[in-house]
Amino acid sequence: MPQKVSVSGLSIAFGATRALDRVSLTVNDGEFVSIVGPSGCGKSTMLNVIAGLLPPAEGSTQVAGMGSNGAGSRIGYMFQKDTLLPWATALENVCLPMDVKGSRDSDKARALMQLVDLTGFEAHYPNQLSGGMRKRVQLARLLAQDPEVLLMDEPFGALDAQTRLIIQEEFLKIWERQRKTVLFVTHDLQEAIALSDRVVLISARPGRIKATYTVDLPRPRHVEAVLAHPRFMTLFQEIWASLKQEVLAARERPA
Amino acid sequence: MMTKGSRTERWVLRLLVLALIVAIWEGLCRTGLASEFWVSRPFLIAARLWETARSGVVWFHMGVTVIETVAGFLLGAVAGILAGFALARWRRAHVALEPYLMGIYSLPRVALAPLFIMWFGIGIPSKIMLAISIVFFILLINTYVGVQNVDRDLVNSVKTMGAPPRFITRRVVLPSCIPWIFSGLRISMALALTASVVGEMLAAQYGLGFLLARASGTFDTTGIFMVLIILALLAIGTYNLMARLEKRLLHWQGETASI
Repeated sequence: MPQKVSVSGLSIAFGATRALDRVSLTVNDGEFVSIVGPSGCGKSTMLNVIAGLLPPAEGSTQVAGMGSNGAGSRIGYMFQKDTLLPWATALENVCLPMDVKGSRDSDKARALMQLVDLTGFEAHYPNQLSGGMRKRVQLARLLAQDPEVLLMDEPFGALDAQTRLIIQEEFLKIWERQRKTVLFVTHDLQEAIALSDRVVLISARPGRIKATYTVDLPRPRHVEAVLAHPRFMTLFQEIWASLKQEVLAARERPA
Repeated sequence: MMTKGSRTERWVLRLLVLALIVAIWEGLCRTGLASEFWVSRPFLIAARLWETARSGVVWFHMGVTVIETVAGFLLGAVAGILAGFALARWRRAHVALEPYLMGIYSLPRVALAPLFIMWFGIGIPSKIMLAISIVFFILLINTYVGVQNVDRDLVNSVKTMGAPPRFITRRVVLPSCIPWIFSGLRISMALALTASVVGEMLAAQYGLGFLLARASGTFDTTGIFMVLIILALLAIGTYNLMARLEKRLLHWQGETASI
């Protein structure tokens, strides 16, 4: 299987603090990989380096065989924070990646709005939409970009628990149809297991890969069914036991 | 947000306040509790306004002040916005010029009036220059701060879509500066009017400020109040115009207050 994302020997430092320490990781084509770890371990920073927004201190990253600077629109990045343009309507926001490429297709954008269940809200501005709706618009925008790799940084972290469950379910359904390569950062272990093929555990600072777990739950999955699956329970207990140590270790260290 | 039904109510209440003020004012003068010499009288002011409006005198002076204000406002705003973008674009220029710009910005600019009158004469140009000197710096600083305050996450998210810098400027930086520019424009409009009037009061042959100074020189309280009322109406008019424009351009932000 071809590699879509490869990270080799990546180190990142903030001043004197070493955030990531020689991390190597590959994500195969069509694979869904989640990264979990205590806060401050450099998970999000790693995504920024892969996206070409930050330079690495050491090591290199490649997306679809190209260095991060040339990766351009092969990468779709979804942030935890709302990054919809507040002065553009929902539909204009979905059209944005197509505008970047110079080929706006409003019908396609409308179809994507329908896919995320937002028909009728095309002319609404972001501040007229709920948090869950804004997330769905961002999802539609990500799909409009049609990137080879999705980088997602705690994309559903800011949503309330109920909305999060529904969006996870919808996202899983869409993903299982399209099977794009995903690198997904989250602090929610349940979410990581329920969505991913593989879960990568990063240690407390300096962040290193501590362990990788294969999630051998059958697909297609439904989030609520997965949460009750016996295999999910064992995986959760196994990963949490290890993750807990790191969370505690990170707590004892000064920030 | 105001409901539709309260619109009439709003205006009825406001007109009642006006009627009350006029009645008390007029009443105090008629009963001799206040002296017409010091505070004039609403009826006299209205009569003067009517008389000068009919003869066209007031329109002429108002026209001069409006021309000075609008010309100073437009020239100063355009130059200030462009300079603000330029300063945000070239870091070196900002580093080199910042203390000087802040120095001029902190100076009470009407203090430049005597100099401008010497340089540009007692006609319209010196008042336009005075208005420009105020408007320019406000827009320069607001535009610069606006560019600096662009949400980095928005820029990054559009950057990861593969957008070139030009696209980011046009679709992210410019729109996010517009609220800053507008708040600068709103303040500037009022200050441009102040600049013209102050300039005219110091040295001029026409304009509302000139009328004001002349009325004051002849102890003509009625004349002073008449000009003050015209100025207040002008200021409210321009403020509402700006608010309406802002509402149209910034409709994505929700409601803006207007008088």
